[in-house]
Amino acid sequence: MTPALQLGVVAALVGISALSLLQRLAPRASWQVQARISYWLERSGRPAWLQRIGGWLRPSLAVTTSACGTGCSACKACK
Amino acid sequence: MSALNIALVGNPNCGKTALFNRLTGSRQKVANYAGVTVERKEGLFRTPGGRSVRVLDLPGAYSLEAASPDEAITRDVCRGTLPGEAVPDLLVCVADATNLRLHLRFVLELRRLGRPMVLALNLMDVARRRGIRIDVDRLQARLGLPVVETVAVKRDGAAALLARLDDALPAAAEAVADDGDLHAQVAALMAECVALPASSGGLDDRLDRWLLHPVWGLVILAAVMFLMFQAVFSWAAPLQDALAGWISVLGEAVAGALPDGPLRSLVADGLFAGLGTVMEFLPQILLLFVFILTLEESGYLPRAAFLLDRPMRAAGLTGRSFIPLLSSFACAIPGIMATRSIQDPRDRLATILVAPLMTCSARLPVYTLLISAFIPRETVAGVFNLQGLVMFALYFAGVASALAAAWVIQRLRRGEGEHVLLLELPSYRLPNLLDLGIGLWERARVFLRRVTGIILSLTVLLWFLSSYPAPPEGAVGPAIDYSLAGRIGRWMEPLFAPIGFNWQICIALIPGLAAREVAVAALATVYALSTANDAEAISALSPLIAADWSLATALSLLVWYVYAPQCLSTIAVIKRETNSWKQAGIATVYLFALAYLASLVTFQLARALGA
Repeated sequence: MTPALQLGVVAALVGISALSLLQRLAPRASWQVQARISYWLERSGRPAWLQRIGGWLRPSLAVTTSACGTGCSACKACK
Repeated sequence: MSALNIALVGNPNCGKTALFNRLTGSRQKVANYAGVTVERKEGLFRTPGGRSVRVLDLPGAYSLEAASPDEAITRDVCRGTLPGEAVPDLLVCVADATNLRLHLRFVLELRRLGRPMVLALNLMDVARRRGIRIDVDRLQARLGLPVVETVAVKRDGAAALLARLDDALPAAAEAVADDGDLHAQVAALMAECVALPASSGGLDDRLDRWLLHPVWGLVILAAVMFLMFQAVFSWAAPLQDALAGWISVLGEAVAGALPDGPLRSLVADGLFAGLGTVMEFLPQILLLFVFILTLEESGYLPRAAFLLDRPMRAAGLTGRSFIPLLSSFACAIPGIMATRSIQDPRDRLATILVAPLMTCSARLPVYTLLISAFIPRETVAGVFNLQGLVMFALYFAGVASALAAAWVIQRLRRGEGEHVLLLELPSYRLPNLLDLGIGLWERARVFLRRVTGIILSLTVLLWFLSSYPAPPEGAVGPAIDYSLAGRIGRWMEPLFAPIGFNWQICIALIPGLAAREVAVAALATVYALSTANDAEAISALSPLIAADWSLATALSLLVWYVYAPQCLSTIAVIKRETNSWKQAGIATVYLFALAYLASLVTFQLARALGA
């Protein structure tokens, strides 16, 4: 495995971890960021493949308003 | 043919959940009712006749006149008025056959709803052993609904109920107006259908004479708790050592198969050193829950609440706070949610504010790590394990501090709370292995979900912050010294130096805010990155910290974890339950102040004594 490939895998793992943490610890902020990015990608005039990515990225309309999503998961209330 | 929807309903402690487990096995789905923090348990099973049944385990309730959110859910589902919940085709009302005088009242109340209903007389084996004779046919005729016998803890104990479900649905009972004295109706039914022996609870009475004794009861309770923590240390040690050995061998094999570079460092120093260290504590957490679930199943816990009512009243709380505080031993979040059953707002707030002081299971890895590293594995007085004694002392410190804090909070608020405790003491019973197994499996799943979820994410991020930026050309010393985490740790160090924390501990405190166990993973990662040897990094956090810290520092960190509000989720739940940022702020500030002061006193005192 070349150093460049190792670096790429590590960067991907760190990015996924950061996103997952953001979703758990700050669900509303995470939802807003995801929505902004998806709307930006879906603007008319963008290439079709970018619009497809934007559509895939568009978050659901429901967002938790409780303590669920804060990362505890100990009380099983967030399933 | 669509599945039959049934709902299990009944008083608390009637064996409803045991019957649910018996019917569904592991085919259960646990979720939450929308908008409230009441657990919703649903399961699927097939009857011997091939009928598909969807069963809902409703929260226990004493009456349809709801006095808590749990009872309100039960009331609304039974009435068919809960939005989003299908109206059950059949209500299966579960009643404890050994305590029909109490349980029949709710049966009569449910019958008034005029819905198809079956009465399951549970614990029939115990009732027979006690000489309670129930004329089932006559009871069936008098109630006007089918009555079946069940023994939820026995393999074929639900056979009669399953056979009944294969038959056609019973006709709905006639809905009647809310008139008539239910107690009088129960008394009439009891006189006609149930023959009680002269004394039906001989064993219970004999046990209660000791277990509820004002002095001996407390001594026995303390002894049970003491035994629990001794066992957590002594019995889990072989399993923990074996698990640590497997993780170490696996880690070395995986790291050895990778070429030198950042990915190998992430796997060895982050995943195996960090996550592996947390995983090692699974046996201890499960053993702790074996005890908690056994005590719960045996019917001892409500008695403990009754026993502790007086000491808790002295602290300004009541026995009503006991169950929320006890739940906080697992996690403060369900404990804080359980305070909804406390009707007096002042008592409820005091319980919420002190709940984080109870030692949650997430603190167990931190305690165990430090105790293993600094407290010798010695026997005291020829019997007691010294490490277990220290663990007991830490749990006791949490409880004593919670009572002291509650006393101060109640004095500051100068209010009279509710001082009446009404508890139903269920009969003693032998814990059922199936229920115990399901409970333990649930706890193991929760722990593994945390390890593979938030703890994994935080460990990867901490490894990144501890590895980058890379050290400059010609730099000497470990790379972590030049990293972002290293700089943050050194920036925090002056604030925490008076309580004996070095910069490595300061780093571990930050991710520990998201989940307390991460502090262990963080320490393992930070120390792993400071060593040159992968094998040493993966397997040896205890010796590393034992060599680097003084005993005073270790004691100070232990005390810090007794008090510190190192959990963002708990703060978020305090805010939600009190609907006040002010109360969440007060909890955070007072717990941090308490942690800092207690650690300061511990560290300075220990250092003065030469530790």
